[in-house]
Parts: sequence; C-alpha cells; structure tokens
Amino acid sequence: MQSSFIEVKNVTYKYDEDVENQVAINNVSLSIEKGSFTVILGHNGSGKSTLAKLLNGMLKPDKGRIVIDGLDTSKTENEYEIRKRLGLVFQNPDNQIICTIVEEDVAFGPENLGIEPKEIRKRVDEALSLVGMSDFAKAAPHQLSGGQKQRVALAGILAMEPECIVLDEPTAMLDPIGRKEVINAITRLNKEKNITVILITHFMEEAENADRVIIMNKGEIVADSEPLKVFSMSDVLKSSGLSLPQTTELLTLLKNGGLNVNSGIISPKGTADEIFSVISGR
Amino acid sequence: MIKNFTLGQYFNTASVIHKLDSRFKLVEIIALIVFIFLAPNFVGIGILSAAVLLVILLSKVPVTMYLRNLKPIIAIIILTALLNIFYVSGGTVLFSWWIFTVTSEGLLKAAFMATRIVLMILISSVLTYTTTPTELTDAIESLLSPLRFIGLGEAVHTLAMMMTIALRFIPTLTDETDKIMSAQKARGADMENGGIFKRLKALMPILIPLLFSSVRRANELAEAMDCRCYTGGKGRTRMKKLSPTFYDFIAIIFTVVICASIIFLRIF
Amino acid sequence: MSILKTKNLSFTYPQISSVHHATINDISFSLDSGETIGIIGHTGSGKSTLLQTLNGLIKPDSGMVFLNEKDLWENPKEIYQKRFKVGLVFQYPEYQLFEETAYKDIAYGPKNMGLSDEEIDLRINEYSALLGITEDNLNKSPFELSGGEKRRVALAGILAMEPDVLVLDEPTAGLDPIGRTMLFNAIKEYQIKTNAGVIIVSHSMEDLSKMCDKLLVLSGGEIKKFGSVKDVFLDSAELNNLGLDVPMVTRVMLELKAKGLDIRSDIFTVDEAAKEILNFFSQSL
Repeated sequence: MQSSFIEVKNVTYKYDEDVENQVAINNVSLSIEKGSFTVILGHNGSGKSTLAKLLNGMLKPDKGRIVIDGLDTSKTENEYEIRKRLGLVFQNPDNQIICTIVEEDVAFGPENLGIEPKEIRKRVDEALSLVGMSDFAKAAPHQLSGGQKQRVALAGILAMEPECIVLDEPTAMLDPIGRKEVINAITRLNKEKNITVILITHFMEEAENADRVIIMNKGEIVADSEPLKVFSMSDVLKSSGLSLPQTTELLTLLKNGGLNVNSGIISPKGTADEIFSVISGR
Repeated sequence: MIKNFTLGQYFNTASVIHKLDSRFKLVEIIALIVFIFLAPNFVGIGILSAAVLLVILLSKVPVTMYLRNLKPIIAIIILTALLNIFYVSGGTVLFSWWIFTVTSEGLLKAAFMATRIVLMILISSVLTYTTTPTELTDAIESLLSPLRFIGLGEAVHTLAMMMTIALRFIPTLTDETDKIMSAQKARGADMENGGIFKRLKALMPILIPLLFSSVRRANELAEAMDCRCYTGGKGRTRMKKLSPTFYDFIAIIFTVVICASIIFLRIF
Repeated sequence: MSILKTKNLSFTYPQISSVHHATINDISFSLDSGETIGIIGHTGSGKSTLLQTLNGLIKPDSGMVFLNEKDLWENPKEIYQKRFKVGLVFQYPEYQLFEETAYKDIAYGPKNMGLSDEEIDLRINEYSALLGITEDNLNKSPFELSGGEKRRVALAGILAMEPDVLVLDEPTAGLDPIGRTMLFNAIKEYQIKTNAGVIIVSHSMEDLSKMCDKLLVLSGGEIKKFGSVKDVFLDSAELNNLGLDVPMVTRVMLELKAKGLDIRSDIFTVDEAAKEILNFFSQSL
C-alpha cells in the first residue's frame, strides 16, 4: 500500500471547558494522499475546525495518533517541521496578515525559516503571482478587499513551500466574488503545483472540483467518497445540517418524482445537462 | 468621524530622498534637528534654511504639503515669538507701553526662535513624507541592533515586531471602532450630548466590544504567526536588506558639511 | 401606504479612505408597510452607505428620506428618536454586544427609548421567545453564547425597539441552514405582527427570492433596477452584466430552454422548478 501524507488513527479530542460535555472529535480515522484535493464539509460545531488544528499540531489528540509525513503531531519537537510541511489558512483574513505591506507579509514565513534574501524574493514573487496578487505587492492590507486579503494570506503560506495546505473556512467571511477568487486560487495550486489541499467549509458548492468529499457531523465522519456520490446522499447531507444548493435539491425532487437523474450534481449547467439527457434519452 | 484617518504621511514621488537608506536618513535628519538648535546666529540659521529648502525641493513633495504641517503649530510659533519679543531686553528700544517693551534685540531673537521651530517641523516632515512606517521600523531595529552585544537583541526584535503589528492594525481597529459606534448609535446611543460623566458612560458600549474583539484578534494573530513558524528573532532572515547607495554617500557628506559649518560658527 | 421613501438621495464621503466607503447617487425608492425589499449589489456598490442614510446615521448631501411621509431630518435634534423607528441590524451584529447578560443587552435599545422597566421586560420576553433564545441564555454573558445565539440576541435587541422599518445587512452571513431558517422565520413573524416594512441586503439570490416582494439592484452607487422579484430576475442578461447572478434553479431553467425545451424560465424556487419539469416530462410522454 502506498504511504499517505496524512495518517489520522482513532483520534478523539475534547475541549477542557466544553460545557455541553460533547467531544469535539470522536474516534476519527482518515488518511490523505499526496497531491489530492479533499473537502471536509460540516455545519458550525461539527468538529471540522478542531480537526484542522489537530492536523498541524496546535492541538494534541487525547486519544489516537496523527502522523504528518512520518512526523507524530503529539511530539512537541516535531511542531516546527510539521508547520513547514503543512500550512494553515484561517477564516478571518484580517487576523492573519502581520505586516504593513503585502509583499513583506508574504515574506514573513520564509524569513522565519531563515531562508536567503534572494530566494525569499523569488518565492514571494512566485507566490503572489500564483494567487493573482502581483499587482498588489506594495499595497497596504487594509486597502484590499476580503477576497484579496485572503489570497495574500494564502500566498504567505505558499511562500513557505509546504506540501500540504489546510484551509479552515477561508471563504466564510467573503462575498461571492471573493469566494470565487479564493476557490479558483486554491484549485490552481492543487492542479498546477500538485499541492495537497484540504478545504474545510460549509458551502457545498465549493466541493465541486474536489477529488474527495468528507462530511462531518457531531465530531464524526458520516460520509467519505467522491463528490458525485456524496452529494446524492441528500438524507445524510440534511441530517448533517448542510444547506443543499438549489440544483441538488431540484434533482432530488425530480428523482423522488420518478425521473431517473443523478442527484449529486451541483453546477446549473451540469444539472441542465443531466435533466436534458434523461428527458431526451428516454 | 474617524473615517478619514490615514496612517503616516508617506507621499510617494520616488525622489532621491525617498531612495535614501532609511537608517542613514533617520540619523541625518536627527543630526540636522540637533544642529538647528545648536546654530549660534543668523548665519548658521541661514545655512540650515538653505539646506532644508534644498532637501524639500529634492523630495518633490509639493511645498503646500509642507506648509500644511506648519498650520497646527502656528500658535506655538507665535507664542514663542511673542515671549521673545517682550522678554528679551537689550538693543534699541523700539516701542514701549505699560510693562511691555519691545527692543530690536527682542525682535531679532523672536525671528530667530520662530525660524528654528519652522525648520525643525519642515525637516521632520521630510522624514515622514519620504519614509514608510515600515522603513522607519526597520531603521530603528537596525540602529538599535548593537544592543544585542549586551543581550538585548531579542528585546529589540520584539519592539520592532510590536511596532509593525501596531502599524498594521491601527487602520483595522479604527474601522472597527467606527462600525461599533454606528451600531450602538442605531440602538439609540447618544455620544454627543450630556456632561463628561454621561459621555464616558456612553463610551462603554463601544470600548467593551472593541476590547473583546482586540483580544480575539490578538489570539488569532498569535496562532497565525505560530503557523508561519515564527519563533522570535533568532535565526530569522530578512527579504529586504537595507543597503546604502551612492545617494547615501552624498547625503552623508552633505550632512557632515552642514554640521561642521555650524560647529565652525560656534567656535569662531 | 409608503412607510419609508427616499428621493434623489446622494452622499459622498469627504475623503475616500478605503474601498469600503462607497458613495451613493440619486437614489429614489419607496417601501410600503408589510412589504419586503431585497437589495443586491457587490461590496463597494454603496449598500451600507444607503442603509445608513435610512436611519439617519448618515446625513445625505442632497435628497430626502421620508419616514411615515415626514422628512427624517425635519428636526435634526430628534434624529435619535428616528433611529428607534428604523431599526438597523448591521452585518455581524454580534460584535456590538457588550452588557453583562444577554437580557441587559437586549434592553439597551428600549432603555435608550425611555421605556418603563415593565414594558422592557415584556418586550424582551416576547422577542427572545420569537427568536428561540432560552431563559437560561438570557441570563448568561453574551460572550459565552455560540455564534448563532449571539446573532439572535443582537437581532432581539433591535426588534425590542419595535421599529416600523427593519433594515438588515446580510443577516444570515456565516449561519448554518438551521440558524438561517430560524432567523428568517422570526423576521417574517415580526413583520406579520407589526406590519413593518423590511429591507434585506443579501448575496444569496435564493434567500432573496424566498423572502422579498421587490428587488433593488445597486451598482456603482446607483439603482440599476428596481421592481418585483420576477421582473428583476427575468432580466438575467442585465444582472450578468453587473457580475450578479439569478438563482441557481433559474439558471438551470434557462439552460434547458436554450437546449430547445419549451419550458418556463421565470422560476425562482426549487418546488416550482420541479413541478414545471415533471409537468413537461409527463406532457411530452
């Protein structure tokens, strides 16, 4: 068997002051292959954000083990090496930009790694161009829109040249244009740079281009498969507190109404194609 | 309204003054300010005025921008001038009324002091107009770096990091204050009327949410810095190395000549 | 009867310091009591500026706002009172909570109105029930509540002022489907009870088509379109030009029509779309 980049084995995690006495992560096992694009879906409080912090060792599992590229996250001495390999992008773009000028912020990570100035310059320029922010290299963060700021944050992680990037609800605070910009940048990194991507979100639409979709509810994995399959499980989606896109909802209704359609499609165009082929193919 | 708040006064014209190494620029301007106060007579002030004028012209920043900076301190200049006019005795008495006596010496002294203040404001404006806050922070960090020999290297780095973060978040927090203020006004908060006590009390609905959100931001920022392998100043490199150019060489010579001439005037 | 009306409203910030402070230009529209208007537009289209002129947080450079047919700025000293009549719920309103308990926080607005303690207590009970805020949570510090609970406390704080017009800036941003449904239901119930006029800003065309009677499309600080939900969404080309979308089902129907099916495309909800397609299918059998 091919060894995977991330290995999560029977992990349980509980917050100390959890009033509801609920475990945040309950006996989760999961492995992620190098170069894959995985989307983890779940509503607020499903444990998906806790999982993100467990992956880069910010939180240590109470039970079980997490191994990133052969490094056990529970060992403090591995922390630095793990963070070099696995970058984390957070929800609020404002609170992860540290410097007063875009390019200096992107340089922050590589500077911490003690990389040569010339090499940093090269990485910063490349990272900014990959996320489409080269024109804003000299701008101040507060002059940017939410989507632009989030792409700067992404570039900041990218410049550290990690093998894997985990994004914890990166689009939750953005408007539709900003969301599109960020999702496009993420998809490009995966396809062009072969970076392993784990995108945590509650927008089903963002999972369309993923290789694999995992659904979490109450700290457990309730579905784990390719997008088409997972999205046709409308009962699981609804009981997990996810909002179905209108297209998936429509296809489910049509299916229940006797049309033999696949209900796991999200894009309007794909949906229309599916309906058309079923209607005309009869 | 605090919406119009802009940070720093950087005015980019890409002039030679902008291109100077911020470390040298900072030291040179401090030196000029010191020597403005050391200038013993009008000849010295004349030399310095010419120097400041030259630098202003070289900066390519509109002169009106510099004059704007003089506006807030007009009162101070006038007050200083008046004090000198009335309290300096000597020379010919030009005018006398009740307890006030204006002498020629007083007038000259007043003009001398006023020019000093104006020059000082102008030359420090050159610094703020031509240097970004980040460049200034870098300059301060670099200039303080010898402190590492007495074990204060990490402290200097921390200070510079704090300045950077403060500069980064001032616009964000101003924006946020504005939003919270509007939100509370929408619930009937009245911050413009009433006595001091009432107004202070009306501030609580703004300060408390602001405090909570700042703490939340600080936590998230710390996490984000951790994720980017920040472990303090040790082993850190910088993308931009400050490096002096030919212009800096000229600027240093220029400053040394000016300062030397003032010393010369003081001694002879 | 029009409860809120604007006439040639214009406002420019004295100095544009960032992208978030957009101008508005020559805005005229009117809202009837019991009616819901949705506002669509990108960040920077002038949405938040417009909302803040409606309750007098911003005094327009020119043009007028009429509340119950009366000039909002008739007596500038009374503008504080007007803000109780036009309840404005900002984006992420949970960040404005500050009191020791959720109860006290909801009471802040009504207290500023000068209501009696009994009346305030009555209103808090009524609106926390409407929003599903438990007795237990009312006595907790707002900072201990979850994100969705905080949002509902913040909304209750505005509803308890019983405004004639309720203005909401992306009220459901960041909420999950359950929280979203709960919030929308509460808004509808409040509207039925008080016959208030409602204005909602949202990026979700799906939510807007569910909630609103009319839509107002804002771009570059100007009204590009104002009409019934149907009128606005039918002109999908114009919306696309502005970089905006029609609801997803409408896009599906338009695609099907483009493929040559003789099918209706003026459909904005899932149920209607399913009915139309199944109908079409059985007819063509």
